[in-house]
Amino acid sequence: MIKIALKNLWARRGNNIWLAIELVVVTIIAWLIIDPVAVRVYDTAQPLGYDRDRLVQLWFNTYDTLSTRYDRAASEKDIAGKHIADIRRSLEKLPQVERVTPTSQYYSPESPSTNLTSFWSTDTIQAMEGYYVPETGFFATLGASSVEGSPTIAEIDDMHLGDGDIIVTEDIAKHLFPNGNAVGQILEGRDYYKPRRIVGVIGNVRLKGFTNTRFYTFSQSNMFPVYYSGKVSENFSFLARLRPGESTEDFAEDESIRKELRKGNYYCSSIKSLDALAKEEEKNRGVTGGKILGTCLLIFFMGSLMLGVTGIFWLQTRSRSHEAGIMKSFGASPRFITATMMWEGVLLVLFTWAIGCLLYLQWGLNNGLAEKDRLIISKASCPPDWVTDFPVHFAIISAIVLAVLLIVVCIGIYIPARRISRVNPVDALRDE
Amino acid sequence: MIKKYLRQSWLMMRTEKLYSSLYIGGVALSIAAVMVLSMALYANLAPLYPEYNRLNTVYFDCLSTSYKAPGDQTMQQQWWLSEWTVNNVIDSMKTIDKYAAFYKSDFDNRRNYSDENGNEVPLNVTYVNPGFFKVYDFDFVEGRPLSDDEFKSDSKVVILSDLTAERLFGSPTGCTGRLIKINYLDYKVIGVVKEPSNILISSAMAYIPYSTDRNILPYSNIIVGALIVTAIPKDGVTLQQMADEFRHYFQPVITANKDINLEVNTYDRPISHYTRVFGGGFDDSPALGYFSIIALILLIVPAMNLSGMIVGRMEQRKQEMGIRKSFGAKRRTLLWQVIVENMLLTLTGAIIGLVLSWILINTIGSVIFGMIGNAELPDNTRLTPEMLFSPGIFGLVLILTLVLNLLSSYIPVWWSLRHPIVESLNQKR
Amino acid sequence: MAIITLHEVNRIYRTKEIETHALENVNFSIEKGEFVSIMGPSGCGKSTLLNIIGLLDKPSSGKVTIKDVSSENMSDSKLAQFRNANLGFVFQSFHLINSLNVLDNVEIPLIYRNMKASDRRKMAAAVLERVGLSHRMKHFPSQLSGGQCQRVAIARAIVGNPDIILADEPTGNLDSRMGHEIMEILHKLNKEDGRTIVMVTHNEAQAALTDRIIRFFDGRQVE
Repeated sequence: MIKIALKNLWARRGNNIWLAIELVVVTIIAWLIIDPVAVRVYDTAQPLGYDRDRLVQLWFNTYDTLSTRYDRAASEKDIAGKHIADIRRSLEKLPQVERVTPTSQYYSPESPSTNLTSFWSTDTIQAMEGYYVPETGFFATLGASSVEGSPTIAEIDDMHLGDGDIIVTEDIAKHLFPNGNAVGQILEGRDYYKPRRIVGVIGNVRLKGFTNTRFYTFSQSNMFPVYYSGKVSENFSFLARLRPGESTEDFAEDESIRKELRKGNYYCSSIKSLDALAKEEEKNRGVTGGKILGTCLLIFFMGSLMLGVTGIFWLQTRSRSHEAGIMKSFGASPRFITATMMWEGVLLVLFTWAIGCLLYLQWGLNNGLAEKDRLIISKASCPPDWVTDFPVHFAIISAIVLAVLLIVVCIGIYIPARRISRVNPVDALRDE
Repeated sequence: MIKKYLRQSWLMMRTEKLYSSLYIGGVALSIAAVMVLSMALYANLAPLYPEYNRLNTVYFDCLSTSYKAPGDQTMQQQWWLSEWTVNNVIDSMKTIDKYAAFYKSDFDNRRNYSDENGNEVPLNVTYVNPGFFKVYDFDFVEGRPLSDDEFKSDSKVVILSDLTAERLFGSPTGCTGRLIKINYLDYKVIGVVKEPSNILISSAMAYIPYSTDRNILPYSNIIVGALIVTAIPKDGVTLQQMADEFRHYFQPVITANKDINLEVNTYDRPISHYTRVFGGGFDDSPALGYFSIIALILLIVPAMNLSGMIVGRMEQRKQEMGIRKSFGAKRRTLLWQVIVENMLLTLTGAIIGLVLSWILINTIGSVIFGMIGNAELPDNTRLTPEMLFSPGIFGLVLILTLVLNLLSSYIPVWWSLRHPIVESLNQKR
Repeated sequence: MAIITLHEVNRIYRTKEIETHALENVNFSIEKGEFVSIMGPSGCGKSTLLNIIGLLDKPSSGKVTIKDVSSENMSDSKLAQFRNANLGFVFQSFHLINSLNVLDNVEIPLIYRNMKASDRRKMAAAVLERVGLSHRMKHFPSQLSGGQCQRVAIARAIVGNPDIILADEPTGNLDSRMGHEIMEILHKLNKEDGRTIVMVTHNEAQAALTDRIIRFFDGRQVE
């Protein structure tokens, strides 16, 4: 059957040349589209490492000094601090809320801002820097997981951090200290960053859902409830985990909750679920747009290809019906005839896919594959995976491209092939 | 004669329904794709209210500093421009004719509210300087723009968009002079403007001078801050000259802060509008060249499809071509005949493609416009009719149709007409 | 006066392995107004000869002269023009275009003379009247009988008023009654219009009614 398919392909090479050229072009285009989309889909599908479900973030601002609601007395440091604590208690008392922790306004999970730190031990790495307020149950609220050999989440949450003490994620610990315990180790600062001491290790977290980076460090926040300068916070933020069964969207949209959470000069300006924040970040970073653009382009090109394949094979119906009539008169079944034509498509795809991939390989060797497009903000380090391994990366994406092309072409051929295979031999062999 | 060819084409469409559908479908898909891309590019590049001067606008939208902080730690900050930079650098630049400095409140997660009548209505506010209304040519329904005096005196004034005024007061007129509360503070309405499409950077529900409240602008450091600056250069000034001048003005402050190793990176700002849409900013976006290639491929790949189908179709018509040749038809005449016949199919496909593209723009428009460039788009992206019904768009469709028709037809038809007459006549049907 | 002259005409088909002499040293002329039959067994080169006379094919060597014009160095364009002005074809398989109606099919030769549409229609209608098919002008070939199709083909062949008609087994696909009708039309065209007709045929009875029979065997003229 394959031999017959090859002969048919060669016999109709005049017709098939257009299809072949198109398949090579579409292979290259498919590579261009599928590669970055596959990497982004892979990255965003990785486990977050923390429980983003039922997490909301609340932002609090201060009334303007000229506002009628502004109370000068309430701006005193002690009173303001008390008001912040009162707001926290009110939040904790809400029936929907399970637990609350302060979080950095700008470096919380799924926030648009990033901060990078660079340090060296057995290797130089760059990591995302996060901040938290110790002894407030931050990691438990986040839903992070404990790691063997390190203090538990509960113990880390109870820790009082000294200057330079940090919590790191498991990937950092394994990367820098594969054979030993990272707890207690000192990391030298790179580029004038000061040395740090690891006091705890947590399970990997991806606090920016659109990247795959899991290199995170957590230091003590010096902005809540008072700035390091001694000035009381004018703006601050809380992370709240809602109870099971509670909807984060309903909570975020409940204006009565937002209005209730006011004390002194502070008022709640915004509530958003972390899922909504993650979606916004994906959109703002172009990840959503990239996925949609990629999907639209893929649908377009594969749709075009399918139309073309169906059209080209359909136009061969009459002449192929004649051949099919001859074959049937000598005992070929409709399934055999259909299968032969499908094999023509498969062989054509295999041949042109190989050429297309070879051509793309030349480009890929010089310019790199989609790994370089990864949104690893400012090149924070990531552990190596298939994306960074050129041969594996190339093989995986080539296989995906092949699968897509085969599906499209086979569907495109199937309809005319079935019609041709059902021809009555007498009708097909009759002269005009 | 053209009528005859078109009639033959129409008959063929009715008899060869599948071929016609596939052909028309292929053309419609291609035209729709290119049109969507063109409309998205048009919306990003064309002069649209109030940004009539878009292609001449330059952007200062990226700045970073690094210095040694207390405790020997290097601090790096990258964002936009601080008020200090605007007042001491931008304002002094001789290459700038006029500039707008602004901060859009939807960049962070603090919400602004107006609580007219006890209802808290969320507002997207842009905090501006007076130059904002010089760079962007707003239509005032009533009132006037922000004045320099009001800006300098930190006056609590606001310019509302007409849609916001209607939402708050029930009408876009008669609002000037009234007080509204924004974030529990009284602001006097000094003007109402026609609201721009929210795919534009100048779009907002309300415009407030950023001088009214220092807390409005998120803190960064003396040089880097929360203000984006867009500027119109003076005539004859190049981007390079502006970039050099911009960088030059930081020298004194760098020199004065040698002890903390202050470094300022201007990232070769300012950038042109083109660069801002297609590249630049903090993250790379696809370049114009990339989109040009996409547009070409969106035409070429379907053209190859159609070519393949035309080759097959010409095989079926080989005998007909032989007959016509035997009665005196020249190759060029037959080529023209087939191209005209195909034009009916191509035009039909183009019309369907245009309609399809309008449907796509109106249903998933925000996604489409957001796929290009650095636009950060809300879900309720509004498109104004001028974006969708410009004569240029129609003209483009026509040209694309012609190009597609020629691209797909010329070579296969010319090639298939090379057969000797006898061979064509003897073809078994 | 000879309207068609063939001098030492050869036609050789060459492939990689085989050389086939379809015509060998053919020499004859046909007078104006003659009705000539060409006969011979299958594969003897009759249709090849007709194609060469009709300038649809070029001889490998030799000279073909029609109306004192040699086709030797004519470009494709000139050949097309010459065919359009001077020759009309009637094929065994009719070769009508199925997607065009009868009137449109007959008009085809006139389209390539850049005539006005109204003039074309008038002339086409007139010849259809002549062949007795004016009531079928808007019909399509699939709606006609074999005989009617061949009459349309004849109408198409004469609509441009050519001096020469070339018919390749015009009754080959028709039954005897329809074949008889077609032959009557051809004889009328020959006798009444004075057109020169060259007809390839297998039918001895039909050939006997023509002015002259030229016989071929294996590419060579034998009679």
